[in-house]
Amino acid sequence: MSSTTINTKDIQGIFKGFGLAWPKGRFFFLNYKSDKAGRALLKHLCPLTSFHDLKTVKPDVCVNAAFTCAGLEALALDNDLLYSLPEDFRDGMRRRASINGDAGDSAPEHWEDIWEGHQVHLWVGVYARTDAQLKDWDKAFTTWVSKTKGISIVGSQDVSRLVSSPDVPVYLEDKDSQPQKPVLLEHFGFRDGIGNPPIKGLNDKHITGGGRINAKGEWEDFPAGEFLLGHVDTNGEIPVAPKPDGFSRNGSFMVLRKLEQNVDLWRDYMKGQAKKLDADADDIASRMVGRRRDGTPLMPAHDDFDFKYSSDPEGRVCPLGSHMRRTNPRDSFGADFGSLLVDRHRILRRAITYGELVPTGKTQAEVNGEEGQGLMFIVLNASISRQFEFVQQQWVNYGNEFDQGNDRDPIIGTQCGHDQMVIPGDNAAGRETMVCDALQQFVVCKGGDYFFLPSISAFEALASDAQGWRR
Amino acid sequence: MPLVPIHFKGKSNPLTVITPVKRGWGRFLTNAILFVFHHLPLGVVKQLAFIHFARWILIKGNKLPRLSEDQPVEDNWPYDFYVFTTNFNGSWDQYIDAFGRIHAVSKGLNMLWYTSEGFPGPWPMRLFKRYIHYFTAPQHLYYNAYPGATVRDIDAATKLNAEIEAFLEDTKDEMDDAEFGRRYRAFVNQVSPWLGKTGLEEKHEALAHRAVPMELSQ
Amino acid sequence: MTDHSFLTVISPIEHRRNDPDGREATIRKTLLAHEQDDSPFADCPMVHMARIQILDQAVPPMGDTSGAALKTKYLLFAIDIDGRVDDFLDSLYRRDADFVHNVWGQCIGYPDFRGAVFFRRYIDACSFSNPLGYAGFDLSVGDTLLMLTRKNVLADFVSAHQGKSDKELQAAWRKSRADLATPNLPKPESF
Repeated sequence: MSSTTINTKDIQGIFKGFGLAWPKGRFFFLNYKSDKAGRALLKHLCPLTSFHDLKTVKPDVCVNAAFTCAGLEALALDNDLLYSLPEDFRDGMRRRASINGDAGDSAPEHWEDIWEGHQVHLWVGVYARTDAQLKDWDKAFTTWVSKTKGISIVGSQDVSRLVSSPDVPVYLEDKDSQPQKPVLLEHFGFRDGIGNPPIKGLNDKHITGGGRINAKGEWEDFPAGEFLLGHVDTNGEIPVAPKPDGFSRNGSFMVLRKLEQNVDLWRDYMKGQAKKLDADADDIASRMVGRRRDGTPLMPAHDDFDFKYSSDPEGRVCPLGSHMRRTNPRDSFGADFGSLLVDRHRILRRAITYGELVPTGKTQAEVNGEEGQGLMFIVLNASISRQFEFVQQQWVNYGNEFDQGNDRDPIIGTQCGHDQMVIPGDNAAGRETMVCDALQQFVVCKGGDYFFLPSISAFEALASDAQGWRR
Repeated sequence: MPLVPIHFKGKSNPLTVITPVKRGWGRFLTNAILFVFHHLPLGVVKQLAFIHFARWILIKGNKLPRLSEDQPVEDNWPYDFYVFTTNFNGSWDQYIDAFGRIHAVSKGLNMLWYTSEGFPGPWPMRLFKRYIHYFTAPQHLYYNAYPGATVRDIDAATKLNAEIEAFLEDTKDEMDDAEFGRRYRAFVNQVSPWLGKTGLEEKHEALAHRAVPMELSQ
Repeated sequence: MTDHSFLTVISPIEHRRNDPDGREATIRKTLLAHEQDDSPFADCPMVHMARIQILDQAVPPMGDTSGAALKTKYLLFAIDIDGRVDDFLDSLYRRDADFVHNVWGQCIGYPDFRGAVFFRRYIDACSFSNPLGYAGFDLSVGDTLLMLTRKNVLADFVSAHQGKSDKELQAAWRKSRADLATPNLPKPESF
């Protein structure tokens, strides 16, 4: 299947990403008591916003949707279809907590109530240009749901984009580390949303810096099959996908995780380490993350995207254990190999923040109270176990590939209080080693699940009252 | 399937693959290939740094030990046994992936398994993985003297050790505190890339469900 | 730097139907009992990695419908050690002769007598030599454990003494250097 024939009218808009043009959003988590009610809901949501729509008509309000395994089962679909769903998706994220390191504060018993008992059937992501438009859509939708039998909203989550601004300081102690130009931010005050893989025929931006590195050191984009079902992947095969073809083609598997960020804890910890190490807190932070706050890489680079790691095999410039380097090692495993050992484990991130930015000097309680701050982390991939779970299990919660022994990702890894991150020193550059000890759990998973994000046509087929794929 | 916990504790996974090789020409060629490989530097494998020990051995089917008169002669097995044992770090899929995707390694593998009946080659990946899995023989006992250590851990420990011994020697005698401080910091900076803590952890997600091939159907 | 030995042993277990003497059953039980705990190999300081497998049946090539099969079940024993095979065999027999008799002693042709010499001879009769062997590094087990221990000891020391004064550093180093020079080594299989 040639990439030039990818039908962007059939792919949900989240593949392109809604970005700053649709900065306000709300996620709905729905349950339907019967397959009839489910189909009524799906019909009401049609037509979903497609990739093509985002490039052409650019609607004010965009709507995308995805199903949990329970959601597909509740539609009374054919057994052949249900049995062809992959195990990771069928298990669901809760059951696979031990693979993802969801333990301690992130353990499922501490997750938000909506994630209990397989009640979430459908995720509906609504992204709007303005608060007013979002409110209107919300009112119309919730009214409709309340009037329709068998459908209920079990939970919702407001989300919004954060953009850095000189009026909202997010640095720890060094004013100069504040991003100078407006960039998309996450709550620890770092630029986010960059470094995604370029997909041939879909998102061709940043092939240099975002893509694969072949054995000759050249940048290449990704074949769609790594992220979009029904297409050829980097092994030159069409990966196994649910049957029938029409159900999975142009769809994807989506991981959704509500990641609560404890900004106060993070700031206190960083300042404590800076004091202990007699160093700059913001500098330590950027070495833990692997980029500076405004997105500038630690490695010498042509721009924020175009850099490689193989010239730094000991991690003295960018620590091998830093968050960025762990989640996309590029050519860290050796220039000879390029990114061959990484390509099968890339993820397409479509996350969006929730909660207000906490300016330096304020606490979380003062800003947002109970609601908190964090990230609705969303990943799109063709195989949850090979891509998302692999990164989470082998690269985030383990350090072997990076010569870090058992040490985990300092930002998102599951810490038990005795964990460390070593930031190597460099005698030649006159920089001292910094060992950050007693790492805390700065990011806690409050729930989530694995979803199937169908194509536009598959969604319409599921909504249809024709016999189609039903038992 | 993947929720069944991995059987053996530790960071090193065993894999034993026993493939049939035709006698006569197959046996001859296998021996020739093994002979050639004896003299090849396996630098790329060392670079991948995930194999502790591995072996390839051709066992002649008509030379299996017959140690008693009433033990039947093995005259219904016209093949030789080509036994491959390895101890590797990482998941099964990761291991086989590296073999298929890295050209230098897959070329070598193609030669080593060339004479195994039905070997489809290291690419396409799906066929290669199916073949390996089909001829994999399970272990009933696996022992590892240092289950909490990986090849990378040992490599780092080796590099570190040379520096430690030099520093111990260097600081044999008392010296001026400031001088000690300088030397100590220079030493720590030098060895800092190798200070990751390792060993067996009580709860080790990375080691759960790893030896089981998860991508077989992919 | 050590010479590694790759020992490969295939010994016949049973050719009669239904395991009349319970040989295979005894082997399986013994292996199961020593798999996760109480491994006799832990007291053989030259053993890096070892595996024992019962080869129930040889797998013929895919598509071979001729009925090609082995008539006997075999035991595969593959081990990576430092130094000489005989030294290892003696060490294993000394450590747990019962294990040897419950595993290889159940195999066809193992003599009725106890004694390491018989074990060595039996293994010799069942060994296959000249493997193409690969070792990721050329250290002995002891050296490997020493270096790994030192790594953790040093990491702990560096972490605990961050931000200390030069005077405190030197004093701490004087006290701790012995832990690094001659650390307590973990027993094999426990690191």
